[in-house]
Amino acid sequence: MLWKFFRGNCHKFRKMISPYIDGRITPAEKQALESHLASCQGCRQELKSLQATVGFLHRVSLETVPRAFTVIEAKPVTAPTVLVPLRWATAVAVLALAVLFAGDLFHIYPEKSSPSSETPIMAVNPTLQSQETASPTPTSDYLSKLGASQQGGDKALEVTPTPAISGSQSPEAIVPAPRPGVAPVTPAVPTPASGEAVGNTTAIAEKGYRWPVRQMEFAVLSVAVVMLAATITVWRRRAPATIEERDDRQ
Amino acid sequence: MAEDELVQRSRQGDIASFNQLVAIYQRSVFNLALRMLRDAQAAEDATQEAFLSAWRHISGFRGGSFKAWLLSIVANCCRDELRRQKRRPAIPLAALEANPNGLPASTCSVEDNLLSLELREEIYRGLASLLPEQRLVIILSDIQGLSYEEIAQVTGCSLGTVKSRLSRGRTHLRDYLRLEEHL
Repeated sequence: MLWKFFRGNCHKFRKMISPYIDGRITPAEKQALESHLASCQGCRQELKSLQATVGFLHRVSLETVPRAFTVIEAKPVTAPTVLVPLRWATAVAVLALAVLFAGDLFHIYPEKSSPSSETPIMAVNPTLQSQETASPTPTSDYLSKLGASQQGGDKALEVTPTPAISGSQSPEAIVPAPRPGVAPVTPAVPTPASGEAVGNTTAIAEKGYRWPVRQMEFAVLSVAVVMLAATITVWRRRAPATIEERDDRQ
Repeated sequence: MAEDELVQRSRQGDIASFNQLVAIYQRSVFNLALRMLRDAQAAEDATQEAFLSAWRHISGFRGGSFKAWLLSIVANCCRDELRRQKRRPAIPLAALEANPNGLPASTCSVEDNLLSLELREEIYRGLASLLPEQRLVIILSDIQGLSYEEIAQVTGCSLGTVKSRLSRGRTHLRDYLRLEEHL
């Protein structure tokens, strides 16, 4: 019983021995421990062996370093200043393309109006028409009249420069300027049969947007692809500023 | 130049001042890594990584012992490396036992003559046999000479934990050396 008491006591004091060696116990603890050590052989042996161990460790010297471990800051390869504006320009191009596609998808762009006001009507000369209906060969009759007018020595059938053809005009809009006194010559046109309205000819007229949306889409798409490729190329070639070690071998 | 001034300049981005601090503390940092990892190459890598990390995070140093701050960084690097080695052990245990120092004999300093080669090797083996936490505090306290407070800063533990780990580590090392009949 007494042995167990002392053993328990020794266990409590032995926990103080390590900080006692380092001088890290309170004065009260130090006094209690030293009083116990005076009467306990086992704890004195414990203190002695631990002091020897710590003494050995204190004599272990530090190894010399195999090399220097200084650090250097790597100079960055010319960071391309074009990257930021290039990214913005690519984003704008992609956004414009998205707007164009969305507008095309939902048909928000102004479309071409009725061809009657846009495309020049291939007017049918009523005089010629009546003559043509009388003759089984309107074409030959037309040519004969053309030849007669030319033989008259008058000014030759003038073909005045026509205004520039726009995309909305049809080639049939080109007509020669009429000579004074001569019925305007119009190219032979298929006469409307059985009273069909002139507007039926507009069936063949092309419907679409007023603006060249398809061309714009293609152009913006091309620009966006080129800029995206340029952005990726410049971005991959950039060199971030990093810190590298300098290996000074001794 | 005083250490405080070097630290202050380093925080302002003066790498030359930081490299002066590296020159002062690289031996302590390397030796801690060497004792923890028991491999010279791994210790070199951990040391370099620690200094690089210290330079990157120099603005995070809030004052106190700069040495303790550096040693805490390398201790973390060593801890990570030990975990990695535990997952994927690359060096057989026999090789470690044969050369616990991890360094060829020619790199030993002159002071080692005061401690016999055999005893020094046994101490290294004894340290290698300790738990990493106990090994760390023994190295910091008895080899590097740090105070309890500095050890608490390096390990991130309380003073009481430092005391108990130190006590247990010394006891285990003493038992190992006694077993080898050096005590």
